[in-house]
Amino acid sequence: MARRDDESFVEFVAQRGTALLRTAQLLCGARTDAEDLLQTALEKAYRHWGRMRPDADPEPYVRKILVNLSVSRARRWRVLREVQMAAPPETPTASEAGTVELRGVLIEELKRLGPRQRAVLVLRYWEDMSEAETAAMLGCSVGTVKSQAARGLARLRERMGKSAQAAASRG
Amino acid sequence: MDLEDELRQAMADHVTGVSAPGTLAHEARRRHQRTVRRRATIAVAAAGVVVAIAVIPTYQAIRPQPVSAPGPEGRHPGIGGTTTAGSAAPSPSAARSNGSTAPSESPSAKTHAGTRPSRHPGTGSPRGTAPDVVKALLAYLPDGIDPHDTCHTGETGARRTTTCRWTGPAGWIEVRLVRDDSLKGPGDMGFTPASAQHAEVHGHAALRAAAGATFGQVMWIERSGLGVWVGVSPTLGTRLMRVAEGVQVD
Repeated sequence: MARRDDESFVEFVAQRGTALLRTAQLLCGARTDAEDLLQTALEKAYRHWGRMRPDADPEPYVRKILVNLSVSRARRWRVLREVQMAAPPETPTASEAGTVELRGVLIEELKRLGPRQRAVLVLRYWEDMSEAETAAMLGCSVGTVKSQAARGLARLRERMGKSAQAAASRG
Repeated sequence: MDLEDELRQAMADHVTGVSAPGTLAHEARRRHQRTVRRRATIAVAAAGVVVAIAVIPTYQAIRPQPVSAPGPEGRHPGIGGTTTAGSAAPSPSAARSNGSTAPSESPSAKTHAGTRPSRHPGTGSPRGTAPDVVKALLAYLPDGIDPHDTCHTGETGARRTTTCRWTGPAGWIEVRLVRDDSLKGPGDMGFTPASAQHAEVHGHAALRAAAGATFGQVMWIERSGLGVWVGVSPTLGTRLMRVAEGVQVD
């Protein structure tokens, strides 16, 4: 049976590297972390690259590694991250006109969600995966995906509401 | 626009301009190679530890041990702790055990009953490795005796005995160097045969038992605290005194 070779790996990374890096950045927040996360995921994929069928799409496999890595790394680094954050995190401010930078606030609130909840929202609304695909990617049930997505959105909505109220009071 | 669409748009805005570096594949492969090297190093180190754990006791078991004195069956533990058959010549103790007219008390039996062969340097090391270990050299070696000797050191209380033995087709020679501060005369060594005669070796008073049917032996005090006993097989009995005069304590 034919196997994938090094050349196909380089070709795959060249074609899908940017998309994967964007997903990694949404999953972990910072650009540097995202590159490190993606490199680790690609290294893990490369380890088994020769055993993958040439006609199979390797992207779901790499993406699954990426998501699992981001969740496990976020859990592991939660304490460290809190210690290392000497400067307060960058928070969007009200614009001169008093309006809230809604999208910036959304991204900041997304970063504050738990890693699994954030992964559900990224896969559902960035990757446009169905609930079943998301569940398969995360290795959980569809019900869990539904509840995690609903809770994540509710939390974003709640925090958005608070931000809007704060902006209104400043305005 | 509902929250889901806002979120989609926010995520798209957030990653705008993000593109993968061209070296991404190369970096991933380099990481992989580093991981492989690290795992190989760990595997080699682990294998080394396992081998060491397995080999050290084996080495301890097979490394040369100090040979003990001729046993009651006239056998010598050889190199590696294995017991090898003794030479054709009977040892003093073997000769005595045959019920011959041997001296009243076997030097071997005296010296080695309860003797603990030393295994570690500092507690009586084998083959003269410790600085306080003496070794006998023979200036005269009769024909038919292999010049390669076998020495070992054992101790009983304050007494330390180094035994060297030469064997060959012509018979055997055994020299015992007894170090004990309490030694005053040759009789103090405890090897005195029943039919001992006075003699002289190196200008020192000695006790001698001529070789008859059994081995010949002579003993003297070489210097304060150091006694020498020389035994030869009956075949070398006539050369006992010449061998004794040729003994040099190193």
